[in-house]
Amino acid sequence: MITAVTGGKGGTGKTSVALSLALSMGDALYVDADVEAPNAAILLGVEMKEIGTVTKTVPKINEDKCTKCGLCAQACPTAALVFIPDKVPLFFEENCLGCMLCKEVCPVGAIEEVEETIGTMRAGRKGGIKIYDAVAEPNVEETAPIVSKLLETALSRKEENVIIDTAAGIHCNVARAIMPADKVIIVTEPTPYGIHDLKKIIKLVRTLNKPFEIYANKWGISQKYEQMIEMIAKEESVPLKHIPYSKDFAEHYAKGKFTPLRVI
Amino acid sequence: MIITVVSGKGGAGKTSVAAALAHILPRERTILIDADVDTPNLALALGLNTPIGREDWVGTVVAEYVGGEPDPKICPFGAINEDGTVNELLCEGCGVCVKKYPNSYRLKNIKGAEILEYRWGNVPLITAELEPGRSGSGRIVTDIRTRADRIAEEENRDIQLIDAAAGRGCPVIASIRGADLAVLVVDNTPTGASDAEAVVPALKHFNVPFYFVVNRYDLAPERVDELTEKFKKAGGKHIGSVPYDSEILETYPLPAKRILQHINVEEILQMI
Ligand code: SF4
Ligand code: SF4
Ligand code: SF4
Repeated sequence: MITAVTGGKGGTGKTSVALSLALSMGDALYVDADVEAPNAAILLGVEMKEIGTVTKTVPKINEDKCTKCGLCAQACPTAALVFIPDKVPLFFEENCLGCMLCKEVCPVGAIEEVEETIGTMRAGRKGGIKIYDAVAEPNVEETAPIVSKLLETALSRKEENVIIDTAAGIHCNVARAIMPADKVIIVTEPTPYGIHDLKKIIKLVRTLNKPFEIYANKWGISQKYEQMIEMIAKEESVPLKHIPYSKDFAEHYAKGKFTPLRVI
Repeated sequence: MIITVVSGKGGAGKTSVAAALAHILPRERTILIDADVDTPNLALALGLNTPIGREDWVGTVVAEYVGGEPDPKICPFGAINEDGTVNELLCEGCGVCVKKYPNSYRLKNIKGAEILEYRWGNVPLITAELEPGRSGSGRIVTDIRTRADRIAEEENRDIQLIDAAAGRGCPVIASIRGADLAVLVVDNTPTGASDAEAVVPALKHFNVPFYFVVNRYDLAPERVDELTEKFKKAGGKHIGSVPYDSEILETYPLPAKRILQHINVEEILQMI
């Protein structure tokens, strides 16, 4: 069973819920798919070891072979190659998708593929919980391929209980992390932001055709918004669970003492 | 003058700080930009519910299957299903399929976001809401910023306050580019430092000086010194520490005055 824990907005307690869930299972594979800010290992105080790199294929022009025809730049969908007459095309890696159309069209075979490292995958363990995460290289702008590779690597272990902790938001990295899941848990909170983002993440989960449950965190801080969450759960006909608000939890969490959440 | 509020990770209190700062800027000179198009919350934080303008952003390019022999293997991003159809959420719009099978595939533009314009009193607030599951939010940020530049010029507004995207990828870089000053919000949690540190290289890269605010300092006061030292060393200037306040959660629009009590905005005001 693969469960993805997601939350729309950041700060709803998504990682805390995901970790609590993993701890309650005793034995679980925990994939921290927030490659721009992986936190689970820090929260559990787990030492992570590198297990591999994630690379991106980019073109490299052999300047001696290049006849300066400009066809590659013409074919490039993102202007990663820019042609100035009589010059070898300029390459702007941050725009490159790695599609290799340029290589395809080059009439003299002047373009070769090279692998650039864009991220590092890591693994660690705490009791029965195996953690997989990945860290993007500092200047990498497009991190979705790291998410895909991390999931592929972690899921190839074919573990029984898998928890995927997605990034915050509703963007493509989140969608990618939800795609392999059998079931999705959406963590929200009774605030206007929570409600606003809950509606959007539901739309995403519906688009991906996944069954889901709503876990409302910080329950008890606002009746008005709690009623709104109840209404949304009812309209969507999905189970709603509560996690009572606790300042103690916030304090413990801030102090680095992770205590599993109580879900009711 | 462009001021960007950044945090590295969502949920650190970035929008609360941005909303509070909006209150100190001269209203006739200011334009607000919520570049966190993934989960834009600045309008809500200012108590705004209804945009005065909306427009589809159709800058997302994807392939469409129009028939013929399916060939899932040609897509370098695994976006083509067994039956030849395209999984739009995985498609990068690279056009490889179109190049190889011009009769089976074509590229089309689809809606990737909705651009929204609000008015906070007479202060314009420009943002966009990403369509669920889409990428390309860096380009959306760049587009809303161009739009904001235009409005700023038309209305003679020389101060831009940007609530930056979360994370540290492309959209954040698009939010930081060209800024004169950044305000970094550091959450006082075990992961707050590493989250916030992730944006520092980008700030350095674009030569943006930064001030920082520690959020929820009272939850673990013993860590605050360490945090402030760390970000001072990274070149930042500490301008305040905001306490955790469960009441804040319930009050909308946000109690800007209460947040501002804890932030020293003198220097920002002198700069503008
Ligand atoms: S790999 Fe694709 S995106 Fe990159 S330069 Fe070549 S054509 Fe352009
Ligand atoms: S297509 Fe090949 S030969 Fe022509 S400019 Fe590009 S690299 Fe050079
Ligand atoms: S446009 Fe590129 S990414 Fe999209 S389906 Fe075609 S080959 Fe794949």
